[in-house]
Amino acid sequence: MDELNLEIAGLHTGILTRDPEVAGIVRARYKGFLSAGTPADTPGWRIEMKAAPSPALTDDVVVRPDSRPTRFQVSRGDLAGTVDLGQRRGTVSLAEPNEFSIDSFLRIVYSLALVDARGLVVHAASLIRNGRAFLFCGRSGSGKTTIARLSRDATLLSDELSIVRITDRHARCYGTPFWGDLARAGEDRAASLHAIYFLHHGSRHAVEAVRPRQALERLLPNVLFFAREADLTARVLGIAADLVEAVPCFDLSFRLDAGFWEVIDRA
Amino acid sequence: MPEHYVARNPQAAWRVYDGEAVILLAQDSTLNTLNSVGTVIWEVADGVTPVSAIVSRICEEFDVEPVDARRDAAAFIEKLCQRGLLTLSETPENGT
Repeated sequence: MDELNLEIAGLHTGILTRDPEVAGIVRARYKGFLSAGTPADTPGWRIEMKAAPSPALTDDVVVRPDSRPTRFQVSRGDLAGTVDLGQRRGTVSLAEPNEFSIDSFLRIVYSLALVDARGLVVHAASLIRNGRAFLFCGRSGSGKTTIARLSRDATLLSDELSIVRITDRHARCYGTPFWGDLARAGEDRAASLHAIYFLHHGSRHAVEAVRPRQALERLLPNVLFFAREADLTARVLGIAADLVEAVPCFDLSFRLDAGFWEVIDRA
Repeated sequence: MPEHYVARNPQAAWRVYDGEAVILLAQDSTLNTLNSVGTVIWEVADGVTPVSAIVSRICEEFDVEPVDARRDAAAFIEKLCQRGLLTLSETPENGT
């Protein structure tokens, strides 16, 4: 059995598969995030992947609790699997091995697994500029990829799904392989999160500070999270609340040029 | 007139900022925000405090007449019950 090791946002994941096609896809798709293995003193995840007909009938992602208290069943039209938060194990059957299905499952796994590490997967572009990370949140069409494209002097962490972790009121933003329209992985780097911006298209560049309550209202709809379970939901809310209390948050109106960095630098 | 009791949905996660609550409901991920009066009701909705006591607290904190507080509280509780955030009962949650 092939084992490929990934490290994303400090979370080590071993991908185990007997399917050479799956192994090839994982190796190519996540080449910037492959690691030598999980250090002995680090709790890592193990995910078994195989190609098999999927029983799921819906195109929607469904994540529901399993019979075991920490395990979830995950299904979509092209995949069916399990995610066990207690055992740090996952399994997935892919109806047809392709990078879209594999990436979708890993996004779900990371959205669940990172809660233990006080992390969130956020619909946001993220960039490192002058050693500091900036997070730009927004749904599809809000301009995440545009912000990334316009920031040639910055290091790309992601143009679509960013990962933020917070400990002791200090937030760090991590590069991810989860891309959007840019179709390019972020760099495998991390930096202290300097500010969070909520994107709005506008006729001019402008930033306006938002208070934690408003920031939480804006951030939560952008958090990638599928479980409908009370304890996990409370923990996600807690992480998001700690984040907006620890990091300055702003509304950012911008038009299609890189001048938004000037108003960010002045704010 | 029988006493009533309101209880928060245990599936709801919430945080209060400047006296206003942000509530996330686990079962459908809906997000609700409450004004300051609504937040007082929400915080006191423990399933054992009678609605009459909640109305008294609103009168004290917001300097409103009991008749107005009672009417507004009833409308608010009904709205949050419809959203699945609160449940209304004629007996306290411990059944006593």
